[in-house]
Amino acid sequence: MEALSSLVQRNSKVFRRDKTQVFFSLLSVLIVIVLYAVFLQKMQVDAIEQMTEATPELVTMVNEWLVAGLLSMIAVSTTLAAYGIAVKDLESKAQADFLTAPISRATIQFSYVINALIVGCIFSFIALIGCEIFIVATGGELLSFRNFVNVVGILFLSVLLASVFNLFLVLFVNTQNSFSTLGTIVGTAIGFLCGVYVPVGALPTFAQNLIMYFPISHTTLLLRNSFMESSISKVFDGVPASYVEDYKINYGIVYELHGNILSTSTSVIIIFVTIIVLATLSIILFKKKNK
Amino acid sequence: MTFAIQVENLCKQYGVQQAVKGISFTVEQGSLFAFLGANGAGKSTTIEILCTLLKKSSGTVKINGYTLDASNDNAEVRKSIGVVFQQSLLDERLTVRENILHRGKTYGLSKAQLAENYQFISTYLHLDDIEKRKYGTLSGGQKRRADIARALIHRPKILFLDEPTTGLDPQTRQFVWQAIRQLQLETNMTVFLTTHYMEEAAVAHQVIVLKQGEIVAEGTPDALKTKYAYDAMALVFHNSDEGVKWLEEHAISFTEKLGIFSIRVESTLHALTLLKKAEPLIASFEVIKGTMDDVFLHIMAEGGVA
Repeated sequence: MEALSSLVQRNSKVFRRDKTQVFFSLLSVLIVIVLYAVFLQKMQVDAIEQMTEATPELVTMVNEWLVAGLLSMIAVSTTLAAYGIAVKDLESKAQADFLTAPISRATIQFSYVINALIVGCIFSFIALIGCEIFIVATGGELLSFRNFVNVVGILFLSVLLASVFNLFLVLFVNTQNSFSTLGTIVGTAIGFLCGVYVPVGALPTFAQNLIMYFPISHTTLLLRNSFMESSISKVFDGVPASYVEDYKINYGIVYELHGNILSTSTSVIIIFVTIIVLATLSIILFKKKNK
Repeated sequence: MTFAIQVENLCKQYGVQQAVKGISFTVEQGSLFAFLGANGAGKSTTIEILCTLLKKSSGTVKINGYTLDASNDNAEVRKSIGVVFQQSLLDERLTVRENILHRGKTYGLSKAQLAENYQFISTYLHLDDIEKRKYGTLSGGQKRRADIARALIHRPKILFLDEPTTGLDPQTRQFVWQAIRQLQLETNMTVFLTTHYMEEAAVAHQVIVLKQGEIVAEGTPDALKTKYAYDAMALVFHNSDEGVKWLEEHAISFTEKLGIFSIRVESTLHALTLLKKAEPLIASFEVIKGTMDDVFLHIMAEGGVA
């Protein structure tokens, strides 16, 4: 236990002091913010204005839509960056140095996972505070207490999912070169696969299905539900329910599969099952790798 | 006599290639043991097996009385050994002290014990001036000091050093050596060393030369020198023709290059008697002592197994 906690402390110190690593882990998120400021926000506001009249709540709602997407991306990109230490240790043979001490490979690997969880949680929490400040500063309201608790819970779940998801990917990587390639691919793909760069409804059907089956997008969906709950009801006050439903489907606030709207609990179950499956696969892969 | 390391018939196979071909040797507790060999001779493979980093294919290895790969024994082996690798492996962005203490904790030492060990090691390796600096900003020699301190933080009984002084300047090399020797003498620690520098092997108690996975020579440096190296003398005569004549008269075989004649001598004293006889002919001379370099080159050139 002492060895594990010492390894985790070491990992987190090494990560924190690598400022460029931290910056690059947030790069994809910064890109979204820039895109949003330049045109994404305006596009959405214009589109919704055609259904209902423009109110200050409308801008807030769109802003909330954005921060929900950002938060789910941050969980993925920061936990992946945290695994950079694992790849570096493997390539530089630092792992061999750890192995001359009476600790197992599994303990070392586990220390990277815990570090990724910690890094993901810290960044998500800081980002959440930043997002709330942004929402309030642009004329919105703070989350209600119930939704705040929901959001924190979903964030924790998404960090857990992202840590396991990235662990699985990183197990295929042995060099820092391939790791940075992986980082680029994940960083780019995640924005699309969570429907943050482009709303789900604007994509062709096969892409929509791909997103629905991509487990991490369900964290985005859950976050949007919690963030946007009150502003949606204000913005669409007096608008026919079918319009609201169309909006929710097009903007990835609910998923419609074979004509049925997926329930929140279905999303939560999908996330949990994915965590268990990927964790099991990772353990099998890890054991095979270290035979 | 207690043995720190006992190796019997150790083999390591990578696919069809045999890296280590059934070697056996023992290392006495408290001794300095040097492992020589050209690149690819199997030194690193052997050292990695002894350090539990690599699984052996067959054979038995006992480290400090614990049998390698026997149940739970590897953890005990690891507690009792320290390893300095060829490369610098500590974390660049952590300070020397942080690096050493973080890794020290992985041995399950108590805080007090760790602090005490750190103090002890620090005085030997003069860590005071570098302990607060980031490892990445240190010079090669300072890094090596930190590496050795990390390997010693749990006060192991055996210290493995895999080419520890490669790439260091002569002064630092000497410092590193003095520190290791002093520690070894005062704590009765066993030092197991692989090196390219023959003068480092010359101070060992026991030397083994490895070639293509087999032991081709072993013994004390003196014994090896007697067997494989010889003293030589270089002579320059006032008149080379007269010199040749004199050498032939005395039936001394020689080689000549640019007017410098090399002959083999039994010892420095033998050289002196020869010099006295030939004194009027000689313009200058140099006696060259046989070194571990000769031993190494000789063994490597020999081809077969001794």
